[in-house]
Amino acid sequence: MICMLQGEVAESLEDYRQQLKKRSRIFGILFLLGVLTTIFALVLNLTDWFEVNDYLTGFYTGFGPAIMAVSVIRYRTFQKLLKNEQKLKTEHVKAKDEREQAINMKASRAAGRWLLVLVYLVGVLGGMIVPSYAFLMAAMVGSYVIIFWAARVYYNKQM
Amino acid sequence: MISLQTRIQELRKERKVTQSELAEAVEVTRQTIISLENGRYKASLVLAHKIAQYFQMSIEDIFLFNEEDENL
Repeated sequence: MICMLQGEVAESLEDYRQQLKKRSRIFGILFLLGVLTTIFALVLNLTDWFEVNDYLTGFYTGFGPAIMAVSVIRYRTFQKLLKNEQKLKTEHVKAKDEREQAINMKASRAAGRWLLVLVYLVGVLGGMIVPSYAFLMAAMVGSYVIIFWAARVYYNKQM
Repeated sequence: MISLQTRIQELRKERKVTQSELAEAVEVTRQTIISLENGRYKASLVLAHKIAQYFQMSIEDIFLFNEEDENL
């Protein structure tokens, strides 16, 4: 699986190649996002323009370079695939494989369910210490439900 | 747990076809063929059709629908 959030896989190898080329451009955008996050972290560290706690400053300082590194690595992975016909073909078969897709769907469902449980626990337990956690929990669970039903309506019309 | 009997392994050995060759022919991974043979994965209609075409047989001759809830 080349990408955890990959959508529909193109049917033919040539279309898949074009699809990967388009997707690899996303890494350019991610890299830029990483650069902006890093610059923001530097501004936080070196100036008094914003009042932010040290933990958050540290988070931004690590997150920005991490996004940059991941986007470079993923971009190179895609480029290596695009240059090697045999590897591209193997990856295409794996991406289109219905069992692989079924496994990804089940894993996404499990991750979604457990994320909801964790958000609920953080909201309920954390909310006793910091009340805004409870509101954040409610907002996240509410958003999940709204997005789920909106997606359901959309796909019901499509299929 | 899903369990569906198939004759894929039997047919494959009869015709001296490896799992990799069958996987390549029907455009799936070798792991999918293994799971189909073990009965751990149920093929979609399209995949079942491709496998049936490969062996030049009907779907019902390869995939055995013996469970009560699989039949009317």
